[in-house]
Amino acid sequence: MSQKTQPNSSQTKNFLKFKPLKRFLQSSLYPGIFQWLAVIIFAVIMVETLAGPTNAHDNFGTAATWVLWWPLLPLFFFLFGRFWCAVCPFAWVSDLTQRFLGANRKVPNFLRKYGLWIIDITFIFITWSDHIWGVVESPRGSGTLLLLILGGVMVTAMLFERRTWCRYLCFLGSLSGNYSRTGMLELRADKEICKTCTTRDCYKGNSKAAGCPMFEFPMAMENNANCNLCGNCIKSCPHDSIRLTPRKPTSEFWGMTRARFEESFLAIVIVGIVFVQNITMLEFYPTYLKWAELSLGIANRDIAFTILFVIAMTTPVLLLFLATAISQRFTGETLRTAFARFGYAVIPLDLAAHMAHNLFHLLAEGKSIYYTFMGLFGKHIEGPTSFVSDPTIQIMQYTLVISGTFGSLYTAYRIAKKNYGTKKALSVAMPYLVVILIFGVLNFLTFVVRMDMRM
Amino acid sequence: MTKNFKSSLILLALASNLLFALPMMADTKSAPTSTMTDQNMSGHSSSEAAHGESQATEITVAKDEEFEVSVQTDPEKPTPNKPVTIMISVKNQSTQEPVLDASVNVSMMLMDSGSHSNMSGMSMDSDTTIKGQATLDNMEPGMYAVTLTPTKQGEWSQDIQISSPTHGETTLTVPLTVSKTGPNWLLIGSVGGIVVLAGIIAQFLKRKQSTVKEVQ
Repeated sequence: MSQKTQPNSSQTKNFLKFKPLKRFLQSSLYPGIFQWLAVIIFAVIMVETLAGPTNAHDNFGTAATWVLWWPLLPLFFFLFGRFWCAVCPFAWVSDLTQRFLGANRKVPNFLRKYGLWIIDITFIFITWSDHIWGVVESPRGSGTLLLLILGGVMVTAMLFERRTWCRYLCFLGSLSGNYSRTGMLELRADKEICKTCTTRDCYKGNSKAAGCPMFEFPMAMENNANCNLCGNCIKSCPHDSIRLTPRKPTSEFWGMTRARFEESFLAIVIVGIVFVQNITMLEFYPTYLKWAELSLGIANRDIAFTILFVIAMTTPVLLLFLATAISQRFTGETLRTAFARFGYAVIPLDLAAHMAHNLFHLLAEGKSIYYTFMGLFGKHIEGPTSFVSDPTIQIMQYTLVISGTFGSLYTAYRIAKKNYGTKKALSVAMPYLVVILIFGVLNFLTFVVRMDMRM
Repeated sequence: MTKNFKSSLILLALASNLLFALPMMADTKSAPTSTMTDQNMSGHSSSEAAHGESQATEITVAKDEEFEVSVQTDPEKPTPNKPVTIMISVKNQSTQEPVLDASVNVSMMLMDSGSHSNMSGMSMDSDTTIKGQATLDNMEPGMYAVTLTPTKQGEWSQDIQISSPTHGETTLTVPLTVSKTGPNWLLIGSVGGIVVLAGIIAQFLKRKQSTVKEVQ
């Protein structure tokens, strides 16, 4: 069974056969060299967002975070899995805090069991609070969010073992876990070699490296969700069992054997989140919100937004439940099981829509990073912020959304095919295909209208 | 299990503290630092408006057929819940003589603009609408002053109504940006305090663990 989950390419192409790369990953330079760079930039961002200019337009922290890092992040997940998590400055802070102050307690069962739900709720809350209080467009709001995460990371690192925050509480970690599953790179262990291993150094650690910070046992790892490519297992494995291989995008979902409801729920919630992010940045949004205020008879804009937000969050979930209920007639499975299985199918579209949305910020506002960076040295530079024209960006956005929609459609079909056979596949998948198509069309439409800028 | 439960409770309490500190961000909503760039003057006559060049004094000058009005604020960059003195200099446009018989009323309203919105409207709550009558100040002839306290940060609109028995009346609208400029030390301190507290708890747990190990 587990053999089936290994894409064919993994048996043939192993990047670790390339000696210089392997030596680099096994050396102490990795991921330290990237981490140090990230920590320095992060320190500047923290200071800037907490104490720098209050206007996003002038704040390097805002530009670096929301115009550069946030748009590039999904692309990183797609290309390199959770590599970002290996170089994340919060992870560095976590390791450092733990080394000096950590009590190294076992992770509470409560967190193990409900961590993903806490993440789901936190993610929704942060998205909502962004629109109510202005997190992204307010340097102080961004700084507050970063500070709260930093506090959370330090507290968990002091109390619990390994990277408890990253594994069980980081909302970004969960997002990256989902996105990286569509990605083109995977780290796995050779199960045949691992069968003979008695030391389990990859999990426990040895003199060469600590055990997996994400509580993973590479031999049993079937997905990318919790592998942050930190390289510890590459360093510590005495049997040279670890493989770093390319794979087809979205292929992880095709052979998936275990589905978790919380992960699927997050995937479908992200559909709503990305949709809200898209809608609220469109030029007609203020007029639409005003119309909603008048229609609902609500004088308070925040309440009106909250109602729309709840609708946007629940509609995709309800639509997927509806598709599951229809599809159930062909499968006879429980609603929960089928929902969990097919929820993953929307992740390619999530990723594509997220990338398409942020592509605008990166390409239409990218030069603001340079302007605000020069502002750190007292140089005030004004000028056009775009790298390419709006129509070019739009074409790229359309391409991304169409690719994401096809990726999701194909994934849904493959999930149905794997679990219910070729004969039943299309009929089981059909309700999901319709729902994914609706999501795709809605996302496509949001990119027809020009977006507002962040900076 | 009990230990895990206790740890869960501790973690939850700390996480909740962190999470519920977020509302403090309500006071940190971004506000542009550029001030007083869009004024207009309306009254019985046609109006003309200009923005003073000096960044240091932030003087807004507005002219119409009868009046030349300049507006200054002290402090230059007002912050929430701190009094701000609005100084209005009223002169006769043609003679440049100070107008001493004017009645000057200032009405400040918070522009109700969201972070993602270009749309702006007036917030009509009692704490977002502040009124006051400016009185003649001794600093210079024709200078009227009033001290008001904006309650929230954001873009405020100041409607300055000038009425003179000899020169007629006019209304001047001047925006005023109220923003926090410094770091939110309360928030930073709170997070720092929680981290320190967690550190103390961690050390306590560590010592307890090592004691248990020694006994075993």
